[in-house]
Amino acid sequence: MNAQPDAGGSAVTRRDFSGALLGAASAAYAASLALPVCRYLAAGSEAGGPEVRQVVLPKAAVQVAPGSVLYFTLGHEPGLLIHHSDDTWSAFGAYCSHLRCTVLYQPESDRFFCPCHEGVFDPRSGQNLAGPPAHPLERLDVAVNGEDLLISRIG
Amino acid sequence: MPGHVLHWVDERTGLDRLRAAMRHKLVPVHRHSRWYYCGGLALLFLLVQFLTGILLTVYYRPGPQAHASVQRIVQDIPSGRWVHSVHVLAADGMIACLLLHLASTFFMRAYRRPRELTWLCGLALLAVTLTAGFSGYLLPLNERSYAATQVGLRLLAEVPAAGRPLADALLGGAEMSEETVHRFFALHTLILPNLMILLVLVHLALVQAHGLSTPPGQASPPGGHGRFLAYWPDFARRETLVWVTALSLLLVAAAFYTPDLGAPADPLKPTPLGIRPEWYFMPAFQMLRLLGRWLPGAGSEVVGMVAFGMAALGGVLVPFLDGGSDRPRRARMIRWLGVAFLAVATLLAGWGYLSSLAQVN
Repeated sequence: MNAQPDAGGSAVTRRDFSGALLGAASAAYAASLALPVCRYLAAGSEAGGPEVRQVVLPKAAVQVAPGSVLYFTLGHEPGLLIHHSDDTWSAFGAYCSHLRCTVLYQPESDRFFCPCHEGVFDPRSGQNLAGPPAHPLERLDVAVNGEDLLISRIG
Repeated sequence: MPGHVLHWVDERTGLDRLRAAMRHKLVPVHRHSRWYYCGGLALLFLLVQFLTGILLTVYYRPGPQAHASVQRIVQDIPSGRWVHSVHVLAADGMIACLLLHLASTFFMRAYRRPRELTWLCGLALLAVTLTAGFSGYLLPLNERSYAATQVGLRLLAEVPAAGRPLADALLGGAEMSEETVHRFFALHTLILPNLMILLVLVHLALVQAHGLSTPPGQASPPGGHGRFLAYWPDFARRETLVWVTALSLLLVAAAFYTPDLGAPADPLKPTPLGIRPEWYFMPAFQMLRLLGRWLPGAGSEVVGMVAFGMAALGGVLVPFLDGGSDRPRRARMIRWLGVAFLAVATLLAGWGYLSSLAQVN
C-alpha cells in the first residue's frame, strides 16, 4: 500500500512503522530470554552465603615458630597469621590488594611479597610499601580467649 | 571417486561450483608470499585442538578432581601424555601462527579497503583464541593457573560496564572454586570453539569474496603483469606440504615434550615465586609489574587499563587510519607504530622472563 506523506513532509510509512514495531518486539523478545539466562548464570555468585566474620584457631593447633606464618581460611578467603620475632602476633587477609594473588612472607627481608606483580607490604601493619598495590592488606584482629585464638574482621 | 558418483554428488550439493571458484582463486606471487601460509597453519592447529580436546574430555573431570584427572591422563592413560602435549603445543602453535598472520597482514597492509571486516574478524578470532588459552590454563587447576585466573578475573572486573558481571558469571561464587572450573570448562569446550567455527567461516568467506591482497609495490593487480598462482591445485598442493610438515613436527615434538603439570592449587598456599603467565600474556604481565614499580599504587592500574584499551582500540582502527595510496606518510607512520609495538612487546616479554627467573634465584 502506498504511503501518503503528511503535510509536514515526514513520511512514516505503514511499512516503516511495522518494521519498527517488529524490531522493538524482537528486542523485547531477546531481552525476555536474556534475563533468565543472566539470572541463571549469576546464581552461583549469590550462593556465597553470609560473610564469615570470625575464625577460632585452637592455640594447641597453631604451631607457628617466631618469624613464620600460618595460612587459614576465613570464610572463602585465605588469611594469614604471623608470629613476629618479638613474640607478638598479627593477622591479615592473605590476598594481595592489587589483583588477588596470595602474598607470601619473606623472613629474610621481613616483608610480605606478592610474586605476581611484586607488591610489598609491611608485616606488622599490612601497609602497602612498594609495587602496584594501592591499598594495605585487610587487617584482622587477633585476640586470645583461653585456649583459643580468635581472629576477626575489623569494622 | 568415479565420475558418475561425483556428478551425482555435484548435482545435489553444488560442490562443482565451489571447485570452480577455487580454480579461479589466485594467490599473488611475490617475495613475501610465504606469509600466506600462516593463516592456514593456524587453522590446522585449530583442527588439531578440536580433535585432541575431544580426546581429553573423555578422561578430564572438571571440579575437585581436575588436577588428579589431568595427572591420570598424563601418567596412567596409554598415549595420554602425548595427546595432552599435542593439545598444549598446538595451542602455542595456533597463537604463534595467528600473531604472525596478524603481523604479516599488518605489514603487507592487507587490511585496506575492502578488507576492513576481514581484519576485524581476524582480530575477534585472536581475542577468542587468547580467551581459549586463558580458560584452558585453569583446567588442570594447579598453583600457577589458580593465581593466573585470580589475576585475569580481577582485571576483567575492572573493565567498565560489562567487566564486573562477566567476571562474576565466570567466577560462579564468592571466591574461586570448583564452580569456576566448571564454568571455564563450559567456556573452553563449548562456547569458544563454536564461536571460533563461526568466526573462521565468516573470515574464510570474506577472504573468498575479496581474494588475497597483494602488498603495495609488489605486483600489479589482476589483469596487469603481476604473477599469480592458481589456488587449486598449485597453491593447495604447496599448502598441503606445509601442513603435513607442520603436523609431523608437532606430533614428534609432543612425543618429547612434557608440559609441567605443577602442584595442585591450594588456596591456603602463597602464590609461588617465579610465577609467570603463558608467553603470549607475558608483555601485558610485565607491563603491570613495571608500572607498579614506576607508579606505585592506584596510578599503575589506571595506566595499565588505559594502555590495554588503547592497544585494542588501535588494532581495531588500523584499517580506518591507513589513508591508502593517497596518504603514504600516514601509512608509513602506522607501520612504524607497528614496529615500535612489536619491539616493546618483545622487550617486555624478555624482561618478564628474566624478572620471573630473578625471583626464584
